[in-house]
Amino acid sequence: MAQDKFPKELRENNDIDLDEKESEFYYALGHDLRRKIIKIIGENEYSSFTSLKKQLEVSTGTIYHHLETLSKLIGQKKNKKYYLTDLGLVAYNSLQNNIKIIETPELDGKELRMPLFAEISDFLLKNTIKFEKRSKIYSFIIVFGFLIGGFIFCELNRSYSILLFFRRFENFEVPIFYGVSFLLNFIVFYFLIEAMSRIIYGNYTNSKIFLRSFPIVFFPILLYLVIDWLFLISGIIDNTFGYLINKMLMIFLQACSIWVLSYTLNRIKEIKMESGLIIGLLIYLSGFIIILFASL
Amino acid sequence: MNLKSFLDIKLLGIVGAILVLLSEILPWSSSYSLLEIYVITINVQIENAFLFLFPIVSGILSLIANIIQFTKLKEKVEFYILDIMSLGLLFLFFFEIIPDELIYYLDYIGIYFCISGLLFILINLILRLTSNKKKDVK
Repeated sequence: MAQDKFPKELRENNDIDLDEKESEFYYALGHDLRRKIIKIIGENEYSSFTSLKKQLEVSTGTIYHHLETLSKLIGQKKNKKYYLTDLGLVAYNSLQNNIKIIETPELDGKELRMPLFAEISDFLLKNTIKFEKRSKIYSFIIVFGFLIGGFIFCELNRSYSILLFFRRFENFEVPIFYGVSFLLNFIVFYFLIEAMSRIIYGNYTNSKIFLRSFPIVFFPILLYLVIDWLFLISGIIDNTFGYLINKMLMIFLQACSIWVLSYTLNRIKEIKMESGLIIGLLIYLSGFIIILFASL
Repeated sequence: MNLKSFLDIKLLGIVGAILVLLSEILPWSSSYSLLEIYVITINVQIENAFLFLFPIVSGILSLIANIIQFTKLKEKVEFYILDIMSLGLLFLFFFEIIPDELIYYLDYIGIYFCISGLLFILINLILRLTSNKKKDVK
């Protein structure tokens, strides 16, 4: 892979003037066809002219023109095949990793390898974040639907919520305690995520949009609450296997929630998926520690 | 990230998974291993008997996730989710089992292996996510 041979710093090579390097670098990334050329060569390590022509589907003259423009980024071997120079590799790496951030805040889906959840999240996000382009009422129905659903099912299950965890606590008789705990948990959860993204990653963007779409993080959890209620009323929960399935589902849906959280952070706050997962993991760990101490 | 540090991080996860797996067969209470406790509890139909198998399931999940990544030398979101699920199983095991019987378990080696394994898996996951982020930023 071309990335393995990557130079550590752009400044290491002093042969070419740094300013010239920078202009070549940004100029190369400024044209769609040149980006494609760099990607094709970078992915295959080297490429022939015929192969480039076949993949780009443009005239020979156009390709020659762009190859000439990319002379600092692309070299030619004795066998006439093109390869990326050190500067070319820097450009390729930048394209691979940061092109999404440079060009658009929208995620192109390359790092999402869970198609089912990506589809669900996409559907939900389109109907919540972009509500100004659609019906405002529709998106608010979705958002408040989640909150009211969580409230109702926490009451029915008599479970209080701590971040991503739920505990059944049947002896507490204060009215609407469980439902309110869900709503409070929602607020605390949101502020924790917002604080973490600000403190750890210095990200202050799209806080309001993130708040509006935040209930979708609770979608898998809400699903679990519904399943838990069904298990409870049917008495399956008292069975050994029923108990096992219930707990396995809880863990799976908690993991899904973490994934949806990192996806939402990525889409709205432009935080990398990995960073979103770290935030999700820390939240998960915090919830576990709190609930462990609460149980002691 | 160079190959050496990549291997180190991966090994941390594998070692963690092995520690969790080993904890299943080590003594937890009155010289009984978790596997033996599971056999006893399942025979009397205790509803949460399966919880005693969670460390072994968690260890297997984590081991699979780490070995796949180790052999393919590639980071994928699914494996992070698998690792998170494996941690979830351990978390659930701890807060369902530990609060009532912690005092008895502390005298035996099993719990220490399990906690060490959990920490190794957790640290490995955080290190991998962090190192991947650094690579992207570069």
